[in-house]
Amino acid sequence: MTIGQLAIIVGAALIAMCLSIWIIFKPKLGKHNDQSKLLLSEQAKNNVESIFNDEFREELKNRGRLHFEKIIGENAMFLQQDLRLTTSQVNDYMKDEIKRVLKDEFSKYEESINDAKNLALDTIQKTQATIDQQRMILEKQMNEQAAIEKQRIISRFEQNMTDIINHYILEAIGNEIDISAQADFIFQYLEANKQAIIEDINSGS
Amino acid sequence: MDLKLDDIKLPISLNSRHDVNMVCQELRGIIDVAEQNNLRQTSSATLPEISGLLKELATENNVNLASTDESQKLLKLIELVRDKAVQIHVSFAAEPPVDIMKKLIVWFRSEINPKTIINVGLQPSIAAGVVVRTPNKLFDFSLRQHLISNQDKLKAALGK
Repeated sequence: MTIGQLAIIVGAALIAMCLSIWIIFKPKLGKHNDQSKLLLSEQAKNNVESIFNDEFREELKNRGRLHFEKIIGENAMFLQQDLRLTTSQVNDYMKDEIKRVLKDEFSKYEESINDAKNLALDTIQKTQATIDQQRMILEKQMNEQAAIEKQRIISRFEQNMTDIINHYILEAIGNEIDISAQADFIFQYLEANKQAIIEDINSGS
Repeated sequence: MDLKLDDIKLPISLNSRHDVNMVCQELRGIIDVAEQNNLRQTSSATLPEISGLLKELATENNVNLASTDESQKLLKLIELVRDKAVQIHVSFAAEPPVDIMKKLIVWFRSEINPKTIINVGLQPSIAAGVVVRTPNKLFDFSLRQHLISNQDKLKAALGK
């Protein structure tokens, strides 16, 4: 332990002793003050009527009114400030909330719109693909049918063409050919088929 | 007396069933009149006018039409022709001229059968040529048939 530390301890002990002495003698001073207060209250009781006269009361009222008005005004001002602040905060809060809600809703709405758009696009693409497929099938069928029909018409035309020409020739020449001029033609055929005619007649008879 | 188809000679002018029927009818009329006169023992009923066809037939067969017996014999023969003779149906595009018909009957009677009867028909659709129908067959010698049978050639020609 050093000398400095000892000196501090001794000094602290002295201070504690001095405080003890001051505390021991202090009640005696308080008693003295109580006595003076008692004297003053007695004087106040005796002179109360003279101190609190009408003017003094009126002045106290005025002072009290002014003080009250001042306090009321200050409180009103504080209240107004608080209200303005609160209103401003509420407005800001509401704005932020509305913005946030609207933003959320708009984002959801946009997302829904995008989903619907994508769905519609997919559907349209599928429909378009189906239509293209059907169109190709139909085109193929139509081409096949057209080819078949074309072939049928051509074959039918080829089949009937000779009939048409024959009919036209027969109608055109009609009775124009003199039978006398056909005699050679007729007898030539008869000669060529003579045997068949004879055989048929013999078998028939 | 048993009559045969070979006992009659058919003139060229007698070539169709219609002619045969007319001759039959005419002969019946003559025979009826002759029988009436025989029954009355008079010749009050005059014989009907005899057609050129019947005259030709009678001449061809040496038949006296004044004789009822000969007329009846000719009638039986001609009825035999009607029932038994070979009948050929020939169709033309138009009414054939007489000379063609004569040539035709001559050809049939000389080449096919001497007792041939030809019935003529009209088929304007054949345009030219003839269609011959025998008892069982049809011989189409028409231009129509000729064109039909040569359709392939026509198709080939049109195809080119």
